[in-house]
Amino acid sequence: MTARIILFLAAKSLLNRWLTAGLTVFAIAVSVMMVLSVEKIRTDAKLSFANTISGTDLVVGARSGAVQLLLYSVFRIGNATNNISWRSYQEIANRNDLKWSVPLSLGDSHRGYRVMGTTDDYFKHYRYGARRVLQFDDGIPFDDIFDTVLGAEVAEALDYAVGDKIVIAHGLGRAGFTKHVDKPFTVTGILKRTGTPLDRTVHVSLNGIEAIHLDWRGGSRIPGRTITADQARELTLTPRSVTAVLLGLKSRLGAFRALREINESRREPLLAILPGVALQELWSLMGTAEAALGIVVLFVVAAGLIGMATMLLASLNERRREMAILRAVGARPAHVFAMFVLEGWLLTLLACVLGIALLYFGLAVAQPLIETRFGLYVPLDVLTIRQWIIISAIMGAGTVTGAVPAWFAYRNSIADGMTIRT
Amino acid sequence: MKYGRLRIVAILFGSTLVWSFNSLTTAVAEEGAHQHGVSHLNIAIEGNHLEMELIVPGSDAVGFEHSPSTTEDRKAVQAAAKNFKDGMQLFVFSAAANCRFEHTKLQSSLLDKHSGHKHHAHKKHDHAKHSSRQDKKASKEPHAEFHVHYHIECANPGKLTYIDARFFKSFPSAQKLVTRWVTARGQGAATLTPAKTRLTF
Repeated sequence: MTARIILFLAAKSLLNRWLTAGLTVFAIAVSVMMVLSVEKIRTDAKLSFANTISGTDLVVGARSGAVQLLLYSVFRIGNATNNISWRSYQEIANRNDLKWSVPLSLGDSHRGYRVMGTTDDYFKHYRYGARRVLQFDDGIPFDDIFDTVLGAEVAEALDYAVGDKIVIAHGLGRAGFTKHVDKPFTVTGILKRTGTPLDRTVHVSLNGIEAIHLDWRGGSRIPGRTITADQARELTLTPRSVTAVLLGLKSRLGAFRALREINESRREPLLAILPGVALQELWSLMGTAEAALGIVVLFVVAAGLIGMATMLLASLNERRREMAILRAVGARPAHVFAMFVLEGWLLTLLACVLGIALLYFGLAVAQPLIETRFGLYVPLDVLTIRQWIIISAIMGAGTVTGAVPAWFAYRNSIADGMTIRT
Repeated sequence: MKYGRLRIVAILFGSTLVWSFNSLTTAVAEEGAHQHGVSHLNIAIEGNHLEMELIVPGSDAVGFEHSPSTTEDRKAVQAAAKNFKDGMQLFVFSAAANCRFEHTKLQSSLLDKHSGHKHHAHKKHDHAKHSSRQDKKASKEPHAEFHVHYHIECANPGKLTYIDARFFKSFPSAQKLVTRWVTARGQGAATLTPAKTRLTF
């Protein structure tokens, strides 16, 4: 009974100071939103990375770092430092411990989306998530040199359908003023959404990549030399190089031997990696950045709660009359203490509710942006257990913070009762 | 006060960045680089078969990496070889998986009796002549290592959830065991140390 009265009084008192209380709540709410979104993006990013590749035993590229190779070949982040020569690729692809091999050729773009040259084996052997096969939403894999298969998001964002003709730009610039206008590609298929960087990829055949570069050397068109699309079809378009190769082994037992043999290849410096192991390296790398972010966020929350304590403490003086009245009608110092603690609790509760609301509002607004900019799909799902733990921790911290002004109010209310001051 | 806090954040941020770059460079240095104190363990599982490769620098196994020249050296190499061949003593698998060590293959330039013996017995002139030929082989592998290959059969590979490395007990000079695995459930990596000897899949 008393508890309810005190809570009622606390609420009424806060309502009386709605502006300062509101701003305090907002400050904490922003920090709550920050903590929750950092946690959400962190877990979703990990999940999305881990789900992007499965069933590929080895990835081979030019010698660089394992993480770098993984990032550019699988996640389309960054660029390759070098390519693999076609002969080296042939040598790898002809190994007899392989079940399959899929070459990848990167470096061109279509209106900001990466273009990847590959073979139709890619659609057969690539797996994502829990070993899921790529599925076509519409159409079929590419067949002709100038065919292309689009990722779900490319088709959606640029409003393409099967049968449309698109022009692929040279290099990675969004503006791409050096376009291969004379050799347009026909969309033959659109893939189902996977929630991986595949959704933002334009797939063409290796020969297609080679064809658009036929009359281009050193990044610009050679004057007086034009080859029509039909002429290009007749030429034998053996690619000179590929960017990376995905490998599936007959037996996992041979994984480490294949790894070693490719890494020690004499022809050119190659790097073979186990994608799962490279991903783990990436986690350990991100772990430190995560910890740094966590510390920053912790400071933000602390700042919000300190703001609340300041607000409550600053109000002590002006609320002396309020306390005196409460004491006069029979409230004990302990009740005054409880009232302040409850005020802190109430403010934090409101802040958490508002923070969660802000989180979902922010996610709803930023979701498409995050997906197009960073290729990260952030679903609007329910809060995780970890997020609830964080919220309860903030609630606890808020209540404890409320105890500081409560203690001063308690002391004052005893002293005020005995000393006469003006 | 405010700037003080900001500075702390900046320092924390900066140091973690430096730290992460460090871990990048060390992580990338894979088994190709010979590093004293760092051994490698590669595990591949396919069906009931389990292949395990253990690569230990000579300095960690016997305390030297030159060809054994004294009786003590040779004794140390023999003792290490015995330890390596006894895989059951080095690695303990989850009991439920019911794994058996089938065969073991041990390779090391230190075990090459040929080189150690002749070097010692011949006269100085011969020695010089001989070693020039030997050098070609030696320069390719200036750091001697032990390569051990274990073939293991597991009756119940699905139940294999962990491996305990007692390896550090047999080879006290070893400080790190960089482990990578390839299984039906995926790939992974972990670094074992004398303080953390359990590998969990």
